[in-house]
Amino acid sequence: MKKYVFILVVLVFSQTARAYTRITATSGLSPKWASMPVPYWISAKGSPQISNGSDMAAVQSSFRTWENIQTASIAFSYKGTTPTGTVGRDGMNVVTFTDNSAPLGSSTIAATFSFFRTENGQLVFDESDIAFNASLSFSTSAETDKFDIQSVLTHEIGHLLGLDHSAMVSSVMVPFGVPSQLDQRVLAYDDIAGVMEIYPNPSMPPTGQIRGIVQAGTTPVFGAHVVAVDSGGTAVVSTLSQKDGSYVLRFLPPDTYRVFAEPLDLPVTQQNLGGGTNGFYSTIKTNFGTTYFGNVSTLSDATAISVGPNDVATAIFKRFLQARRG
Amino acid sequence: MATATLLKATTVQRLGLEDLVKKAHHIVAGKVRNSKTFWSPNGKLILTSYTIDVADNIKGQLPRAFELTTIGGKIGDLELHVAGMPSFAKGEEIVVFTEPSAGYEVVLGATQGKFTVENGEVSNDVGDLSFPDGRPGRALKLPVQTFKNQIRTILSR
Repeated sequence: MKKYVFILVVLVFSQTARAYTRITATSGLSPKWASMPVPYWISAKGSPQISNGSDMAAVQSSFRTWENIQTASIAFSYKGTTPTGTVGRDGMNVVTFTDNSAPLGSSTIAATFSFFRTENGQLVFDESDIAFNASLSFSTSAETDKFDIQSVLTHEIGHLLGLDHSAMVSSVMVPFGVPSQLDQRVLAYDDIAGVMEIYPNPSMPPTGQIRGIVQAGTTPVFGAHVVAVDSGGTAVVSTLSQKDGSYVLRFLPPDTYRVFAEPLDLPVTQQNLGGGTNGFYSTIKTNFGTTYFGNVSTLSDATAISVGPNDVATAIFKRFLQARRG
Repeated sequence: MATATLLKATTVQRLGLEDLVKKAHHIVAGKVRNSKTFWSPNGKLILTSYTIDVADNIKGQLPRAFELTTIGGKIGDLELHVAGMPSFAKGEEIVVFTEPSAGYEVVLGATQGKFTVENGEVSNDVGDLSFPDGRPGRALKLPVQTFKNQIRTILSR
């Protein structure tokens, strides 16, 4: 289903690959863990429907998926199981399948409970627990209509690390998945680029950037979805323009890129990012048409931008094609 | 205050209006009078309870004023946030779908079950939610009277 949606989107919009987005408060502050490794425990009861230990293995695999990113400094420390089955502040970051103390309601499948505080002007995580709904069925082997523990948890851990939803349909951080499908176990480059920004690895191979401004005439365009497409036609990294219209596409491997800006209208919209109607991204602009750098409507006509190691290239959008109608 | 809308996603089952109406123990229209933030009895969670003055019991029968509780809030320098937990402003007019959970009356389906009434329209907000059914979230927005009529039509079936 997800693949089908992706194919359809590509056919209709020709290029729709979307942005990693950091969790952002209305102040503009984004949280991160102040130090690594982040310790975690698994509630000893595990998932009540699974007795072969694969639930515990799936949890650890989810954390390892993020930890294995070579280009980011992420480390988790598995501390073993704990008799604690409830979420809440106790000095431990716990994954539990049996919590019934938190008034989450019957429709919640999984939730991340994050405590945070301000430290030296930075927003930092103090503790974070993840709870699966104790009354729902989970699986580790793609059973029909059951939620895959590793897929759900990999997504939740992305939030635990400070990532918001991504609009990139192939990413783990997209705000919708499908029961029994396993593709959200595997990170997309967009997910990886997101945590490379939050937890940079100083020894990672040098990459380049494309920076610029998205504006309609002299008016900044907030929330334009700006995408870098590599020489092979793959959308590699994307981001959303800020309130002043500025954007930065980071962590671009050396290559030649074409860049486009599009409205964040479908399939993911501002409703799926940053607090919906009240959040940071609630006032983004979507009344313009997808435009490639060079003020053209197709990838093949777009102006190519060469990016070398540690290069900072520039692409400024000043005019837009008209939005599609009908 | 600066972190009031900070997000981390919660994964939820999608609830359309029909699901909300059928699953809710209570549906009320009302107004938020005040709120209080406190530690849960086990001392591990920060909770916020809102006093709601009921103007219209659409389903079930809640007292004229009742407590609606959500997870999260700020006490001292420490803030707990769970994405998708609705928050309310004093004086806010709402239509809300509720259910009991862990000894509290809570909003059904996280923010899916909270509708703000503004300029004669109701709307909800699904920005903090992740849906595992292969489709993005879609907020609802429609005239309040149409909304109530639709609820009552579903209830009458």
